[in-house]
Amino acid sequence: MHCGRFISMPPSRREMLLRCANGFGAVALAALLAEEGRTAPALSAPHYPARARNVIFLYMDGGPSQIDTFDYKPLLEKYHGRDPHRVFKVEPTQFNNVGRVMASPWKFRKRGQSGLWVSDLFPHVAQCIDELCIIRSMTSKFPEHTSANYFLHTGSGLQGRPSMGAWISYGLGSLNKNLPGFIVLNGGLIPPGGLDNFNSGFLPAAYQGSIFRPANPPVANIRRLEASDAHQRRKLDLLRRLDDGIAIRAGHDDAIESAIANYETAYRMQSAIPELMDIKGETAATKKMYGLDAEYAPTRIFATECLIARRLIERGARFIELTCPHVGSDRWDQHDNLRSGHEKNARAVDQPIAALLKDLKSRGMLDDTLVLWGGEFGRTPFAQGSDGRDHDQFGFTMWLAGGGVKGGYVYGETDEFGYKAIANKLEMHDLHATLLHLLGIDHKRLTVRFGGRDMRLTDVHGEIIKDILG
Amino acid sequence: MPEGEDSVFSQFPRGTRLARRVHLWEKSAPTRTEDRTPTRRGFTMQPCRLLPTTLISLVLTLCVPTLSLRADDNEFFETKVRPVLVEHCYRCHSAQAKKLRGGLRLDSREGMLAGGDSGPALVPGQPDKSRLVEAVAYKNVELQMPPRGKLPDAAIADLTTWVKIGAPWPKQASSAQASIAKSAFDLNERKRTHWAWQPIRPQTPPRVRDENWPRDPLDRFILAKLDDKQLSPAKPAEKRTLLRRLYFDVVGLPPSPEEIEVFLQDTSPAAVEKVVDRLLNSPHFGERWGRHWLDLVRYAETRGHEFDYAIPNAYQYRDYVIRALNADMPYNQFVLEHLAGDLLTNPRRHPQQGFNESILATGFWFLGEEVHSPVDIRQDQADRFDNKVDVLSKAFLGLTVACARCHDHKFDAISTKDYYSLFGFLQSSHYRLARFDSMEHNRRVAAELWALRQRGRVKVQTALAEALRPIAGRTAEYLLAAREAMLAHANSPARLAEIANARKLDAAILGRWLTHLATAARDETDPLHAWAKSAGELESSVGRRRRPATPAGGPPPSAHTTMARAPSDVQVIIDYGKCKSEDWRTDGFAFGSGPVRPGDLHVEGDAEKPGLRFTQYAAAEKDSMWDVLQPAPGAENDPGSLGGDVRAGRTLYTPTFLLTTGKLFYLVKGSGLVYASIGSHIMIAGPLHGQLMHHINTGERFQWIAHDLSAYQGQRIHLEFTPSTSGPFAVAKVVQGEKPPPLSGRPNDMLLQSLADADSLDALARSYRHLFISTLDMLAADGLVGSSDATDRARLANWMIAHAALFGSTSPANEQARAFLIQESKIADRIQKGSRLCVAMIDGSPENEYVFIRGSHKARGETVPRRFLEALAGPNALAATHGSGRLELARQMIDPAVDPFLPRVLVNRVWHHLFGRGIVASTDNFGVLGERPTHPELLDFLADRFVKEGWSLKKLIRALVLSSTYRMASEADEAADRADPGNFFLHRMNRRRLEGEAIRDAILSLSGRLDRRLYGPSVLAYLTAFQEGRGRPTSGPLDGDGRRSVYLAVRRNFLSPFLLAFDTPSPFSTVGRRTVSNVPAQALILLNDPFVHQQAQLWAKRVLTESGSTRERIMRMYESAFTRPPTEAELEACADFLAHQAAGQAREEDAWTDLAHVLFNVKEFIFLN
Repeated sequence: MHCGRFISMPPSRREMLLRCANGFGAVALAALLAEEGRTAPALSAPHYPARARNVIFLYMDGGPSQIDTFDYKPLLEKYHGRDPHRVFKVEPTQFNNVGRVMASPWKFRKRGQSGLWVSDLFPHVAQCIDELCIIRSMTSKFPEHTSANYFLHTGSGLQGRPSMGAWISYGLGSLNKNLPGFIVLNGGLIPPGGLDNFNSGFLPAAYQGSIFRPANPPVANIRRLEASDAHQRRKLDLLRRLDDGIAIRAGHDDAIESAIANYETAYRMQSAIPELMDIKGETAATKKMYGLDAEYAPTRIFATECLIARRLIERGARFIELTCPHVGSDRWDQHDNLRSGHEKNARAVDQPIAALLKDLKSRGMLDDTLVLWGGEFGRTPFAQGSDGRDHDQFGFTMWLAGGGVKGGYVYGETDEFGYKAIANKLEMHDLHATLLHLLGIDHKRLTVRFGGRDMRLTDVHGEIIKDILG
Repeated sequence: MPEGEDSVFSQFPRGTRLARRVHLWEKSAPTRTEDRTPTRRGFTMQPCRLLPTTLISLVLTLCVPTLSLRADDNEFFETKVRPVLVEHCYRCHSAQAKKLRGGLRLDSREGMLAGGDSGPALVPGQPDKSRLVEAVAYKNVELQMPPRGKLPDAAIADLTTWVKIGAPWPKQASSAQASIAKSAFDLNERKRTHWAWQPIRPQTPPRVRDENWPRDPLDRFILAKLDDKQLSPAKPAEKRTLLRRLYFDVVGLPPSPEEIEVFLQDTSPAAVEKVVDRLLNSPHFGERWGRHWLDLVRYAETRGHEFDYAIPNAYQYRDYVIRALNADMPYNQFVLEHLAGDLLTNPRRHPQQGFNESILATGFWFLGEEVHSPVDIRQDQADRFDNKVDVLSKAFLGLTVACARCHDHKFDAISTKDYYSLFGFLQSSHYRLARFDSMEHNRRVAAELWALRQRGRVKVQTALAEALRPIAGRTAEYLLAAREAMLAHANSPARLAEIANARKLDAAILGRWLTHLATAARDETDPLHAWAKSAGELESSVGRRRRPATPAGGPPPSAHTTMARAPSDVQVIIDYGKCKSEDWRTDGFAFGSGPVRPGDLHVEGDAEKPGLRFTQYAAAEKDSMWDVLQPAPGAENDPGSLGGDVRAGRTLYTPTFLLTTGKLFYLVKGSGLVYASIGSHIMIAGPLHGQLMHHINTGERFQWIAHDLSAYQGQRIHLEFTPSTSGPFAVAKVVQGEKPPPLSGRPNDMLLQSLADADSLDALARSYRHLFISTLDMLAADGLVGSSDATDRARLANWMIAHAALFGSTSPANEQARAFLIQESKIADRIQKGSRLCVAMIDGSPENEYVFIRGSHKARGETVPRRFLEALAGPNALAATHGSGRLELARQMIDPAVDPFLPRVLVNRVWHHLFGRGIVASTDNFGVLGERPTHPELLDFLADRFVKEGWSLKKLIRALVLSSTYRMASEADEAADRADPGNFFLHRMNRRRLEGEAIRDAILSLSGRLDRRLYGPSVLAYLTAFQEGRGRPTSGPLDGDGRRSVYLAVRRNFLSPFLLAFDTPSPFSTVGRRTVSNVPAQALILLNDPFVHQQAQLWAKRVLTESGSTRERIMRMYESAFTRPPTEAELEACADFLAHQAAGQAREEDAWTDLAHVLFNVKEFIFLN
């Protein structure tokens, strides 16, 4: 055996750096690219031309019901009140408290030029229906929140894998050196499974989702504790002097230099981030459109999140995920009181989402921003107890908009009860593969070696949903 | 005799017993007939069910050849079937497939018949049995094809028809078939061609050019390679640099200025050795290296998932690791304990506290995630086991066995069978909270109790027999005299005395017999019932007349210990009357040392009023001596519904069995809890699986209790019984069936049988005497237990005790019983009541797992026996064991002749931590996808020496840090770095960034806040407002109470943000090599985190309390933080800064705080040269 020839494949320059002693190669690379104003993307260039530059994921934590929102099933009315076991095969559910077949309490209407059905839960989003690419055939492997959340976010039902936002910022980096690539705007609800839904897993910590709140401070450790900027600046000046001395003593060292450079970035972030969170300068019309003056407090929270999401896109954040606000009851997880629960949740997000889509469109930003809406699974067409719905992972709805997908378009189909996908059935891996594709990344080639395997967001699965590409 | 012991019958009110019992009996007979009905129904059903298929098969057998030749069938196939197959299936299931899915080809009839990973796709003529039809029908959510969407109904109907008519396939098409190639997996070839599977070869250190450089033979391997590459080793590091490196590497803390001074003053050649030995002996060594180990076993204190429930007492495992490292426990023993510490006959004991150390190690198995309400509990188990196998194989072996979950390993000599053979060990082992603190002590107490009872029983029984014997010997005379009195209606005492005197009997006692017989005549359960009846009937030929008293139509009486006979359709899971010793599985001694047997003596009550009782029915019975057990204050219980404090050390485990009907029946007495453990599930909370727990309370008598688990049919489970802490509890039997077996067995079977032979009253009376005397003889000779009629004899003895007055004694053997109780309570007083608890394993009955085809538990492959990896230990099962076999597995793993991975992987990990990169850089993967060793001979040299020197981690570390290689400087040399840019050959030391823990600990050390206490419950981590979510604990103190970072709580969903930012890994799998990131978030934390500011202030205060000038103070700060004095320029910069800051600030302390804060942020602080 001979040293230097043991590497099974000829290493690229990047791989060489990554394999270097102690992982310093990776940080050296990070530093290198940081100088170019980007945070260490794994790909020097996209695999193919990107259709989208950024992603906004409107994460509907808890699992909104497909049959009460975008997947209209008139047949449910006919079977309303029947024993579902006599109508179709009922699979085990989370609560195993199966009630009667339950039609949607909301009226559906055809909307827009495309004439797609939308329920009255989403009157505002309905106005944007011609932008939406509705996928009615999503499936998940897991009927419980936590595993399903991990699966949706990381492509695995187990804790500890990198989130899609982490993969994307690992692959592409951030477009703004003062901003993390993957930002989670927390409206108040952290989903079951916790912050690990936004973690970087075996990717470097740099790619984990940074949790921002629409509050002050918006992010941890962003506010200096010194009384004045001058005060902090004096300390940083001393720090710079002392650090320079070390640099001379130690000779050139990428890691130390990059750590020094981080302080400059950190200093700038202290002002850049509060600036971006500050929406005072937005016009009254914009604020009104988003619902910042809404009567319902949760609407105001989500409106702020959506508006900040747009500001983040303007500033080059790569992947932004929005979590829902508290609406007093539960998130979209209506095991009972479907009617009031879904109404509150929809009320909180409907107007802000529509405003975001309109705003992005009017600013010409929707073309290269991909908006994704959905939860970890859907809900059953039969009741849980008398007035709720249990988890349904066999067929549910998510939608996309902008960023290179067809608008006013429907893909996939559930059975006549909206229970299980029967046509163009999709898995999370397919969604992930398509997201990456739209961003110019071949999901099979964005890998990182961990524990003896080249890991991918899509594991060994995933097919691009070509039909929805615009 | 307590009422309860006659349990089976005492449920009926007195006087109605007979009637009810006969009724019961009558009912039970038809019941059994009914029980047979399903079988009968089965017979009548079968033709109904089978006929159509049989007919079809028959028809097909006759018709298919003809059919397949018919032109319209061919046309049907070509027009209706083939196009569907081509369009929807061939992309994945044909010769054209880029990648053949599921090993299945559908482009020939042979391919369909041969099938794929989950069996044949086609059974001609039987659509119901054809997976092809099942898949396209989309009825089974687990098997739906094509995967993207259901075929049109017409196509499904056509495929179904095609199968139904026998799946005709035109000849020419099928003849063109190539054989179905399976990808070759050649385990031996893979083993042969990869370095890591080869045995460790002892190495001779090579010759080098500079013979003066090497200090340790290991240096020769390094230098020889440098010679080879024409590189020279870097100059030795400065003393201060070396000292700082040693401190952080060995104990994870910086040296104090005093310690630096001592070292600098020591100019002896042994100066470094002295420091190294001192550090290796420091208790902080275990903290530092323990943290490295915790990374490997995904150490956490909560179960993650939705609510982040606690892993109770997880920190006990962490403390175990730290103690083991500090004690320099040999690594092979450490590994043995991890795998099977609960199974060692002589567990390692804590030197001072005496508790069982070994068992604590097994906690590592349970440090992973747990899910609280999985809908598919078996799938969930597979995921948990996968994590356990993953951690086991990576942490100990540096192998990625978990890659073989769905298919044979893509690169390494690891088969899917290897993977599932390891599952078997886990299937055969259970989770528990162990009373590690008290178990060894109480084991001895339990043994003494057992011995006392063996000894004491004989004495008490002998005394009892002697007390009753005189009158019992005259039973016949009393009976006859009583009869005479009865016939004479001799009610007056005088008349009675007369009769008594005539026979030289005691008149008072005779009176009692008379009275009792009057009662016995009405009580069929009384042993004297037969006499009372017969005597009253004035008959001489009693034998014949009495027979009808035998319950009509019942089975022949028997004298078994069984209380219940199982009908043939009832499966006996366990019968504690016939329990084999290996099926006796308990945690703790609450159920004594084995099942109670009929005839066992219980001495009960207190010494004032002792009671005697002979066991009638075999059962696992609670020994109430152990009701006093408590968890120690602070010991945590399980979260969720299993969190009663009563289970630890008080649990009875049944063997594992298959739930067929899922209807379980327990023959139990008293109150307690049964937990049906399915799929090793331990987190009971939330909507599902609550029915796995069942509370039992039958009062004082045995009853069948039903536990309906039919929702879990097809799963393998075991039961865990835990008694309440008061009242009785006993488990006699567990069965599975449709309904419980009838309670059978009648009192006095034996009596009825033996008395049946008496053909006269005299003979009957003599028989009674014989019964009583022979029973007493057996007691005196300790011959009751194990005798064939022990149950009946015990019942009789209990009756005699209860009616001792008939035998002239009111409290027989009281004195001996009292003495026994006093002795017993003396021993029982020594029971250690409180105990700390730890998560640990306990062995279950042996179970093997089957291969999950393609990783799906629903696709059952062949069963694989429990064994170690085939490439290392061969394909044979481990030698048969009564339990899991983990101990045998561990013995193979730690045998370097079998397993070269264990020592190689370990020495490589140590090398990685000390040099910044392992000899094999991929520390957790020695497989083909891992990296090759840069110095393979050195790796073998170190591994070999490590084993020969007794697997001592401290010796290994000592040798490494004392080497010339370790002592090199880290400064870059441009020319050398060009020649060896990755420093693969170690031409210099690597510069390393400190881990989050070391950074935080160093901050605490400088500020003076460091609390050097060892061990104990974790301190909750400080959480920011951004860390929200379910199960959020309250935030811990900002400074973590000053404790070292290894003592900060590792709550999976709420990890310390400070540590996370510096790459402390998220605990989900083995991480032997942490990522080292370098990001602005780290700068933001050191700049703006209130903890860092707080500590800076403390440091400033500390500096100001010390005397000295500003310059001296600055110098001391530099020494503390960087193990070196400042340069003149640095000193000046700091002094200037202080002056400037002080000018603007009211307090001197604030200026110093600012300086301290800046020093924490200097890069040198977080890097190690």
